[in-house]
Amino acid sequence: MSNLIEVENLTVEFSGPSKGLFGKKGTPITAVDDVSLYIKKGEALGLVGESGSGKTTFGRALLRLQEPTSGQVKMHGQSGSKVITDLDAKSLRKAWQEMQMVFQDPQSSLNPRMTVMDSIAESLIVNGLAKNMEAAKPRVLEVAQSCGLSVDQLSRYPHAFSGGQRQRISIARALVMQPEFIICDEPVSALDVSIQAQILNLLIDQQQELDLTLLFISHDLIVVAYICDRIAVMYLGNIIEIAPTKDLFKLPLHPYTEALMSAIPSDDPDQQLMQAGISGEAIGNDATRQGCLFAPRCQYADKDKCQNVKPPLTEVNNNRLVACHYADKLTLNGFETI
Amino acid sequence: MSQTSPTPNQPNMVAANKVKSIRRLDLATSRQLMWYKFKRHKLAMIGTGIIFVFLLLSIFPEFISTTKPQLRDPAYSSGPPTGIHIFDEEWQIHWPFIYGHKMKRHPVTLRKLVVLDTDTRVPIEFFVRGEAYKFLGFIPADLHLFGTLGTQIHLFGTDKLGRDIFSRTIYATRVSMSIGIIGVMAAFFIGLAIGGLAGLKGGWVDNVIMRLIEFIRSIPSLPLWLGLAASLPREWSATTVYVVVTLILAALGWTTLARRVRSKLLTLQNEDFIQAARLAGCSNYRLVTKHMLPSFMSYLIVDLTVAFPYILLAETSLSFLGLGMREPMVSWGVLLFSAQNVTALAHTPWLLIPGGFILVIVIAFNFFGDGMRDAADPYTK
Repeated sequence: MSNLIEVENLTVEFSGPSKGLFGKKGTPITAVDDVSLYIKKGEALGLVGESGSGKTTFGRALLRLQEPTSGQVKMHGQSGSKVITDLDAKSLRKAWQEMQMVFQDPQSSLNPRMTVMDSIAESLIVNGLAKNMEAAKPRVLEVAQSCGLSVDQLSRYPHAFSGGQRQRISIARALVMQPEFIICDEPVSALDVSIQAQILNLLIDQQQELDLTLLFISHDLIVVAYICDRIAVMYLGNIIEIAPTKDLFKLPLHPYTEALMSAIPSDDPDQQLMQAGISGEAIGNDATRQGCLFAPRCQYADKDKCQNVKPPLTEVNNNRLVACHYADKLTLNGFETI
Repeated sequence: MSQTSPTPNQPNMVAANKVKSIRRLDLATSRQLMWYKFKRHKLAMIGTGIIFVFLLLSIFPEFISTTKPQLRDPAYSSGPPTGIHIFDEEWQIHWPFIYGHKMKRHPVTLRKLVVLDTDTRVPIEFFVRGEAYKFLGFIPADLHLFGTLGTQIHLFGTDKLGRDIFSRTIYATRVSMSIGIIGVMAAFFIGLAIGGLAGLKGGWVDNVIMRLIEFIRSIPSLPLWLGLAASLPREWSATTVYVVVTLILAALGWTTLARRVRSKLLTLQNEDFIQAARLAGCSNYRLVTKHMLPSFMSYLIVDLTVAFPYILLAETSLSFLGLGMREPMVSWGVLLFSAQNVTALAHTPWLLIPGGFILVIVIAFNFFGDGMRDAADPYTK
């Protein structure tokens, strides 16, 4: 299978708070730190990490909703290959027909002043694929029905819908242009657990039916495991481990991944939580940081190498990518039930 | 039998109504939702009614007033409001009427006094033919809402020159309201343009505009108006002064609005639904006009209704100080101008009646603005 998305050395920096009215800009904060990865065609890649780790910024930078500071994003779609990061505004709008996003908060991702019909049809009309509402209607009905919305609901306004239904509308809106690549930015984290399952199943169905490629951003490992083929773990803007879902759960290679696993609540009420948990908070990442970013919180870190040398993302034993100096020496606990 | 049958049906009917009302809300546009919310605010509805009446007054002052604002009734100068009677001296009931009046001198101070002439009874009539005027400015007409034949009726009394205060107040409503409305409109467009520029361009443009606004807002307003208004040449006609005063008030009123527009644009740019619209391929123009503007227009309208009384009061204070409108243009401030000295107040307190109009309209606008504020965001519960 060929790669649909290739990301090379993507970096996003936010300028720090400037000092005073005419003061110099502070040290920039690095939200996404030199990330390289690929997503295969038809694959669902999960991106996990704690809040503030740069997952959402990474997703937005792929679409250039957030302009990256440096690095490249390439897309090899059916209409040919292009470098997303080099496109001008007009070609970028055209590229967005092939890459879409489902947002986290269903309350704010729909314009409250437009009917569901208008919201879904907008991209068809704006991009000139349909002359008017009437011409757009058949396609809107089709995609709405495939997302579990009924025809009579389409003339309503978003305030008439529950969170789960709104997320269906968001998904329908993302799918209406028949994109190849969809970024799901925590699409279920604002929903009840029972509704989460419905939405996840809808995403899986659509992915299989339309041969979609997904980047699924979440902080919930179980949700990601349910939907994704591979998982990338992010910490302070760095990818610290990428592995196929099964392998990652069976045998995490990075201490942070182990800590994430240990935080998954078990469905067995008698079982104690594993105590590989970590303490403290992630300290912001900027250019002045040295050594492994996770070292201050890592129970396995030594005082020398881990504090001073930043471990690169390297291949360890069987095709596993991990950024840890001791990946091949540590034996870490996974999460068994997956 | 027939009496018991409705009971089991009742719950069904209630349920059916409930379903219907939910569906109506589901299909309601934001404007409808705002209206539902606004309607629940009783005071705001009262305010709206009062504003509506004032608008009528300012559109049809010729019809509602009894005479022209500059017309003198020398026989009744500084006369008190004419009382409307139903009973005569003998407690006989009549159609509402007024008494005639005679002029006398106070035996000691020699001040002019108006004495009621209880022998002549003049009935009040509706839709009377009186002074000729141009209806809406171009249709010749002479019909008035009410009036008397023979003796003039002065509902609010007359001033020193014998001009009818009621008619003058009604005509002043047009001038004052129109200054408020035009001033607010002008402020609206200036604020929208400058605030929009700051919010959309950002960077140094934003910085310069914000500092400018801070500068303007830090100038004490009354001395500034005074300075600007005093610099108007004395030889300008009343109409020119009217236009310029309106513009001066607008030029100072736009800052709040510009700030609001800017902050709304900045917050909206990061809203998910705006990002989604960008991804859908919307041009910047469409993003602003179709997605952003409609979502904060209601907040702007709230600001406008709050700004209206301020502009009205500003005009009143200017005219009161003799620096705003001038005769023959009458505004509420111009009318109050003649109530400035103690003698006038002591002997002719009815000169203050136009002040009551200002009070009422300002309060009405505050109520209205209150309701608008509640209705501005119909999606919060």
